Amino acid sequence: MEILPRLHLFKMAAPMKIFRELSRKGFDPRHVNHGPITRSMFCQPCGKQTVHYARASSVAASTEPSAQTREPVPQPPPVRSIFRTPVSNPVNHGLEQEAQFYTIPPDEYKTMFPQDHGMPSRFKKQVDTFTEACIMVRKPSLEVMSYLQQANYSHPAIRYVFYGIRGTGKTLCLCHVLHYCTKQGWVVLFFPKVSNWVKNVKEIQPSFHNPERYDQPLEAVAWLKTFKVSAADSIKELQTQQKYQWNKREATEQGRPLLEVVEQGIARPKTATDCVGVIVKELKDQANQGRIRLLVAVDGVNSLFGRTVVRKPDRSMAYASELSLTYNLRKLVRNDWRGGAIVTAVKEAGFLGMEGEKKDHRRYTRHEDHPDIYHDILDHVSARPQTFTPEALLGKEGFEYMDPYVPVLVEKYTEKEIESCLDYYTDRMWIQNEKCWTEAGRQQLKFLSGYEPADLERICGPL
Amino acid sequence: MLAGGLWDRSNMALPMCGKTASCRLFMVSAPRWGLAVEQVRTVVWHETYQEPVVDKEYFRKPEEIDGLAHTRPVKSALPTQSTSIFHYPEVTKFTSYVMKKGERALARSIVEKAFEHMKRHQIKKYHEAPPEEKPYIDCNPVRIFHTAIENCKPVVGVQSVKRGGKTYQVPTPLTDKRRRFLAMNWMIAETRDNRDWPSQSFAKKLSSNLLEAYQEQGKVVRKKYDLHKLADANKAYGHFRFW
Repeated sequence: MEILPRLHLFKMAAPMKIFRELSRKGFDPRHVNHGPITRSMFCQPCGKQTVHYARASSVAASTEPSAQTREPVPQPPPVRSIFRTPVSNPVNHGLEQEAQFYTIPPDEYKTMFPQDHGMPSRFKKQVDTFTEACIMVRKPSLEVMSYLQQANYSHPAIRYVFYGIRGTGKTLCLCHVLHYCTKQGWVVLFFPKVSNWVKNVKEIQPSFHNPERYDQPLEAVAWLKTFKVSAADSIKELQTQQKYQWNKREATEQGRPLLEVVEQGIARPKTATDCVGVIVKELKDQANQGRIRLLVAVDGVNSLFGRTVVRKPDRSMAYASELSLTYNLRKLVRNDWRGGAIVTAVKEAGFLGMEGEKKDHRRYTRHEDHPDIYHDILDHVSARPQTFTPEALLGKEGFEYMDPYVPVLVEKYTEKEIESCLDYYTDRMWIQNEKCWTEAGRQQLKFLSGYEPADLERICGPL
Repeated sequence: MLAGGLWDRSNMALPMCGKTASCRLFMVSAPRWGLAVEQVRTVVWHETYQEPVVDKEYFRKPEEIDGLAHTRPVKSALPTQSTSIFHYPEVTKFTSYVMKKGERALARSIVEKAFEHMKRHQIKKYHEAPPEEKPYIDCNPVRIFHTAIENCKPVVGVQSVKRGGKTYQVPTPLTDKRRRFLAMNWMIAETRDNRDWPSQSFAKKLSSNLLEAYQEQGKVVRKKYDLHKLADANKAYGHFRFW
């Protein structure tokens, strides 16, 4: 076989030899193209896409891992605006702190939200990653806080409803208000994500005293546990006002501390749901008598007036008022009591829809003017009613139940807020890409997220 | 980045009714790196179609109307091309290797999730570190990715050659493309058949593999050393190399 002489250049065991020789001299052989002319040599100018960053470790191909070279990585530039406020007490928050982040002190965060319950899942991760819990002071929460300051508490409790499209921070506004009321020394009843109680039902049993209703022992115990941590200080002095018979043998006498009821529920899951009802009733009574100020915070209040996934023994679906937990909660959002406030949020997420309502699962719809044209339902704006408003989410029954209420719209970020948020993310190293630190990168992030808070956080994830 | 080559410029004055692609087998194109012969058997575009230009600055400039370039239709851009400033060709290439059955959106979301896991891991480390350690902790997932892939690239490979009825593994230099291909696909293969952590998601396993390779540790880097050893053991067959 005849071999062209030109191709004979390196035909021995050259590669390993060259490699060892070069690495002995401390030269990086990786970018050296050994051997004859190859196609990749032609490709160099346009194939030069490799980004050569600082290497993490030395080149020498030793089998044991070498220590990282001490080479500092590029750090983000110092931020330009004031994005963080040192005022950590929401009682002192005003319009001058608007669009700035405040830190919830870690111990308060742990007592208010034991095991992060009630926080959006992305925010939970963020708290873990940033090792701090920061919430932006935004207009809707400031608005509700100023209402709470000025309200007359000898009148029936006023209901506030946060509403807005998905991912605008309704829950975090609710948590901000909750922190405010805790700081004021109110008793706080926080019901996070009520849709979990009608949707992710783990176990049901017929109620002890009313066979028409169904108890959810596991959910009730979980709630009682968090309530015990978060409200331990504020309900220390409260006592039961009557005797409660849990079953044949067990009872709580009149004049016992209310915490005993909580303990009872945690120890005996069968009675836990009734314990929640008793706590709700007691606190409502005590607020009526003016002994305490009561804040009822319900996240996803529309789930109280909708369908559930629970099937009754006769194979028909149970309605939300047939579950004891939601039944008690419905009594709480009724404004037949005074000495407190009800702050709620309506949510599209996790909502199962109203009774008898047919859900539109179509992906395409006919255009109104040209019936021959099919539209993607997301593009066809007039085909979709505004689904995030309280009237749409509460339905007829819920609206009549909740009326009158104060709707508070939670909107997307404004220009000032998104600048502050980007600065915060840069400061916390969440935005890592060098290109995001430039003006063009910031513009692109704003464009991609469309000023939506949750989307902005999500888009910055892999950057 | 200009997606097209010189071909569409030089042939601008081609008659519109040229020979159809069906009767040609090869096309001589002149990209930047020299002459090349490209197959046209499976090309769906007519020869008059222009290459798309993926460059925002190109379109910011006013259009020059000379010749008939603006009258010719344009091929559709590839899904791997993007004008985003957050676009990294290496990451896109890796996404294509992760992809199965053409589900690029899914593959992309998986890779992005893996990047996010890496970043969360590093950021947490950063915030918990003492202040003098902080500037040395790298949190940029793209930079970690590039370093990890660079650490996995083999320097020499082997090629099987048949001589006298026997197959020899002959050590050979590798092209840059081949090195990148090996590094990325070892990374994916190691992640796919990770037996230590079977119930974990692909993204999570990928992130841990990338972080290991970033520190020149782990299975993928060991695979690279194995190949080096094989090439070293077979250096006696070097003379079989005729290419």
